[in-house]
Amino acid sequence: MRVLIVEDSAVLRDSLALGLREAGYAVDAVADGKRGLIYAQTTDYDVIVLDWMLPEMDGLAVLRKLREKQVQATVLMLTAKDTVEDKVTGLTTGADDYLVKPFAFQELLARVQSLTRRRHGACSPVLRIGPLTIDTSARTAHVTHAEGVIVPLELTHREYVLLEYLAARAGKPASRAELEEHLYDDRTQVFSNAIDSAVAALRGKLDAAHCPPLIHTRRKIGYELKDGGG
Amino acid sequence: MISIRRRVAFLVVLSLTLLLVVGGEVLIVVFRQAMTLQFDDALAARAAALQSLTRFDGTTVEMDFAGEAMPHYGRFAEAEFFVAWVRDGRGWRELERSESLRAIEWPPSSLASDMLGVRDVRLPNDESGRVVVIEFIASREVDEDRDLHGVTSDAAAATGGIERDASAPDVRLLVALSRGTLDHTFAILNWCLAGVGGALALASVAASRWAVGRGLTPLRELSRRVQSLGPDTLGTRFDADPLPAELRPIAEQLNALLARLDEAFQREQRFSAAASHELRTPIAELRLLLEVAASRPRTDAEWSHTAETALAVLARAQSLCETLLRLARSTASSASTDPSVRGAVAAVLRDETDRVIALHRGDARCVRIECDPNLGARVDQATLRSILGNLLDNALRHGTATPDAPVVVQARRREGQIQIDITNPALDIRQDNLARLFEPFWQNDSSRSEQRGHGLGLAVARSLARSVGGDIVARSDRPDSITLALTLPSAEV
Repeated sequence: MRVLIVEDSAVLRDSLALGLREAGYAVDAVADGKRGLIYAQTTDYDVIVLDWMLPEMDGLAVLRKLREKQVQATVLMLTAKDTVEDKVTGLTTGADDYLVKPFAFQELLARVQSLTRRRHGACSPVLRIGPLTIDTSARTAHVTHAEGVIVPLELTHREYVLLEYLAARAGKPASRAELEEHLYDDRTQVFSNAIDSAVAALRGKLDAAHCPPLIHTRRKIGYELKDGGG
Repeated sequence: MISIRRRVAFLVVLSLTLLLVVGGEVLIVVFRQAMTLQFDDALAARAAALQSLTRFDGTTVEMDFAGEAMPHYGRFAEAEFFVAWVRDGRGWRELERSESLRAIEWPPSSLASDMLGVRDVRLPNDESGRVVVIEFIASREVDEDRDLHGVTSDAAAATGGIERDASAPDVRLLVALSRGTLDHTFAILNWCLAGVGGALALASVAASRWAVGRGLTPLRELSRRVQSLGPDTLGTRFDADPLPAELRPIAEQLNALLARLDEAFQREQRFSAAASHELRTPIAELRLLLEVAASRPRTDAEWSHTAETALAVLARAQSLCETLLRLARSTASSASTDPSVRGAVAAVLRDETDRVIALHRGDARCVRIECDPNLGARVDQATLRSILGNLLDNALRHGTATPDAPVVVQARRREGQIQIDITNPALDIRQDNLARLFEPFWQNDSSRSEQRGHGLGLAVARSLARSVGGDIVARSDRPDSITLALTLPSAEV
């Protein structure tokens, strides 16, 4: 899942980026409103963490532009403005959530996870596709067999985020470019076969857990996670 | 202090009561005089009736008084008396008296020549009364037979058969009448007037309270609205037009005061909100920095980096708090009246320029100073340093100065004051932003960057300048430059 941070305080921006990356998100971070708007319009982010008071263009103006341009990313407003009027203004302009500074990082992380689920139309933090179960809060996955035996999956960070993204949009194929856009940020150098090798590794681990094939290749399109059918 | 309503009501009641007393007294005097005149007329009529009974037959004077026909003079009468005297060669001799006098002798003083006329008297029965004393010549009775022969004199014709005789003796008649009924009427009148006056005075208390209350309704309404004012209703303005003329100036002054209060309150609110925002930022930064750092095991190098970042955040927060304190202190301080205080403008300008250029790692040619070396401002050196340092820092931080287009500082004496103009090239100068430059925490959007200050420098500089009797105003003569004009009191005579 990919997150954009638009925050002018370098300390906040760096800390947020570090914390979210360590939580498994692909993160881009910019310091002013104009660059934030450009980034948000050119990349399909799952969540945008947007400060209100920004140089060049304030957060509210950025938000208004994003909604005018039909950008689908969910937006978490981050600001020291704490009056009811401020919150109402932020939410009615198009923000999906509002967090007042100073805040606990755990709360911000929970809200980002919630917004990510909402972005993909899921309500529960636990995703189930056939015998496969993914807990997006604990960031774990396991396979449940018919006799009740649970086999946990030991996944690398890259494999987990790939599985979570495919599971979040289960039943819909995702192209390699889309997967790259959502799973890697600008800092990561992505090789051309990175997605294919990650899918191969993931298939291997699912197979080792005696899980029926869930990841299907759609020719000339990409990959799809689906229970049954091929 | 007692209320206006009570005070005005008391004065109205007092005035009305005084008017009632004076009016009542005048009424009593006029009424008494009228009644007394009427009483005296009645007394005179009685005297005339008795005079008409007096006859002179040529030798003696007689009075045809018949007690039966006039029972009010009878033996048992108590209120009316008369005595008639006739003067002969030996003096006054009593001719007739009313039976009501019985054997009582009327004081002979009544026979004195100056006793004629009407006056008050003490009656024999010890009541007060009025007495009339008249003197006349008894009339001769005319023989009516002569009249038949056509020899009636003109005088007899004029008096209806009575004729004056110059030889007739003088008769003095005294008629006295008790004032009992008159005084009784007066007493009733007094009691009536006192009763009515008292009732009117009492009624005036209630009436005046009601009238004053009604009259003070606009004041009460204004007072009620003033009492309802609070921090949330400072935008209220009183409509002066429907108010009485006496209250209009008060409403206008209140409106002006409210406008000033509203503006000051909004300024304070903006300041508090901005200060709160600026103070929360370092707290948010520290909290997030430490939470993320503590969320998993870190290397020594990572912890070291975290500590350095935290210290930098703290240093900035400390600087912000100190600047806020300086602003608060400069707002509270006042101008020095010590004539010996002298700040050397040229030296401070030079020192502060060097310091600020070093701070911004700029080129010394980015600032050009045009200053008379002998200029002295009546400001202590530290304050002058703080004012000029903040202005120069603002010019270099937010301007676009280069060696080719430098910040120009011109200091000179003008109209008994020191005027220092600091002009720097800048982008995006908007006239509506000029007035806001001195608002604490206000920063132009383009200046909000990693290197921005707290947004307090100009607020502190102006507050300090005002505290020493000077001021700073901003103007933009050209769209690509801005001038901050500082005036300070001059140290020279």
